[in-house]
Amino acid sequence: MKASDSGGASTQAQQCCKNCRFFNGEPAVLEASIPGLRVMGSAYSAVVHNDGLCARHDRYLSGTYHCGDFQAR
Amino acid sequence: MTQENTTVRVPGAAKPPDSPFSELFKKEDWWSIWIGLGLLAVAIGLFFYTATGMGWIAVIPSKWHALSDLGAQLLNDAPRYVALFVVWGALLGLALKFLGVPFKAFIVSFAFIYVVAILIFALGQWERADYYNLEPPLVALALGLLLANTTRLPHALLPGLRVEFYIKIGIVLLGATLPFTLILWAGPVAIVQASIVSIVTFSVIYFVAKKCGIDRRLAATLGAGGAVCGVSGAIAIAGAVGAKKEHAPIAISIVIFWAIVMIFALPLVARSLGLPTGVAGAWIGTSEFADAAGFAAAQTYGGYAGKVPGIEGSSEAAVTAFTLMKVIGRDVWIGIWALVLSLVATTRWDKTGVNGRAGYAEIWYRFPKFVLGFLLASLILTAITQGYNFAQYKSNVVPHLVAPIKNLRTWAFIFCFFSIGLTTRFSDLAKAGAKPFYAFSAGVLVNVLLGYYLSTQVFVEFWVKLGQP
Repeated sequence: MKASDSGGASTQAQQCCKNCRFFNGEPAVLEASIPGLRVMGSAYSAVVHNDGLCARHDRYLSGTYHCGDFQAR
Repeated sequence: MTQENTTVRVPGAAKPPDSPFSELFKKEDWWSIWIGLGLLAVAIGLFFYTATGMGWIAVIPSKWHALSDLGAQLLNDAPRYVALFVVWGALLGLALKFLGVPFKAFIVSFAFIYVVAILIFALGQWERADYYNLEPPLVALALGLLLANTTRLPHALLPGLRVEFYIKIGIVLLGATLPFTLILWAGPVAIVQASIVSIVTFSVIYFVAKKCGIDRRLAATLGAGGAVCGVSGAIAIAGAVGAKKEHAPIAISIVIFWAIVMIFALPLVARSLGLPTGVAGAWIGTSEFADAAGFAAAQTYGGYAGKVPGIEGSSEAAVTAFTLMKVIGRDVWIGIWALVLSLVATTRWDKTGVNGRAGYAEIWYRFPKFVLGFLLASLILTAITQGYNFAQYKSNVVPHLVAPIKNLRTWAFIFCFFSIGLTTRFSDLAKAGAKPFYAFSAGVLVNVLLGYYLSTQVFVEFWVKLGQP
């Protein structure tokens, strides 16, 4: 399902990374995937907000990002 | 049949949104506030309704001469140490359970950390400790580094190694030992000094990185790691700009390397220059890269006060100046850095196939909330001690209210410093490559020199005054 297939602001807001099946923002997963993160930082920290890893684009990004490859969980 | 097969998917549909209050129990920043302010509330209650306040449970080792003295006092105070373990274990374990860490796994790990923390704390109280430079923060760090890099630590130890969580609780408790008027007086100067250094450092790292041909998103991630708040700055900006998966680990590796170097180097150089404690704390706050690392350096330097000839100022001044500079001057601005860089990345930099939607709310979302606990703790303690004159404050409030809170803060810091060492396994860190390392190191050079100049020349009178009793 491509993001461009459906319109409307609310749909676009729903089709952001944090709701996509390619995205993983679980803190435990982030700390296991990002070497050194828990040494002097934390995935449970407020500064991380809703960031996560995108397996589709191989990026670490905010859950509010979006793209044309969105697939609902 | 699996869950995958039975779930009915509606294309484009989102999972139900979390309650706006769920964040209050899902982020360690908020838990550090609940625990810090909770302990403060109990300390205040006991101060008003008992003769000795929270002193019984906030036990610390006393000065000792011979091992037999130490053994006797530890045995005598054993029930207090057990009670303190129960309090810390219950509070931290409950918080981490909400974050998804099983209580049993945590408490086993924490028991080990607590026992070693007692030994490190006790070693620092040895009457010859100063002579051998056995400052508890450095001992905790060095011991942890040695264990982590020469042995394969059991996985059972990992759940208790929460560096950031311990340091945030310590910072909230630190707020309760600082008058709010001091924060109002010194905060603006700290913000000015820290802002100058942050902007210059970020610019140097970013432009050197660009000159080296490094991707803009990695350049920004490195810049924030060096200029704002270390690992936290790097990970926040990596997310805000949509960095490649490998960018954050590269920046984090370099930040950790330089942060560890600076823990040992800054107190050593400041000591050889005989800097007053307030001045050294301001320099460390400007030039260290991570909160936890900076507290280790500042607390070490504060420990020299009154012990190393030529070092003027109170022992608390180093930590106070560091906190104002790092927490108030640098950390709180991470949301603004994230918003600006996210907007620039989305509108000006090369397209990556993903697009950002940053808004002003980003500033609040990424705001390090534990700072609110720090400020609130300071405000509460300042308000309830308003009615005491100076003599009453010294004879009653300090020993029965402020000192126990300070003891609990020191425990939190030692848990943190030992955890830094145990989690820093150099072979597990990402290989950074030469160019990112050079770019970051250029920023380190400028940061250290500029921070030194501002702390010892431009604002020196201010920081010296902070250290006067």
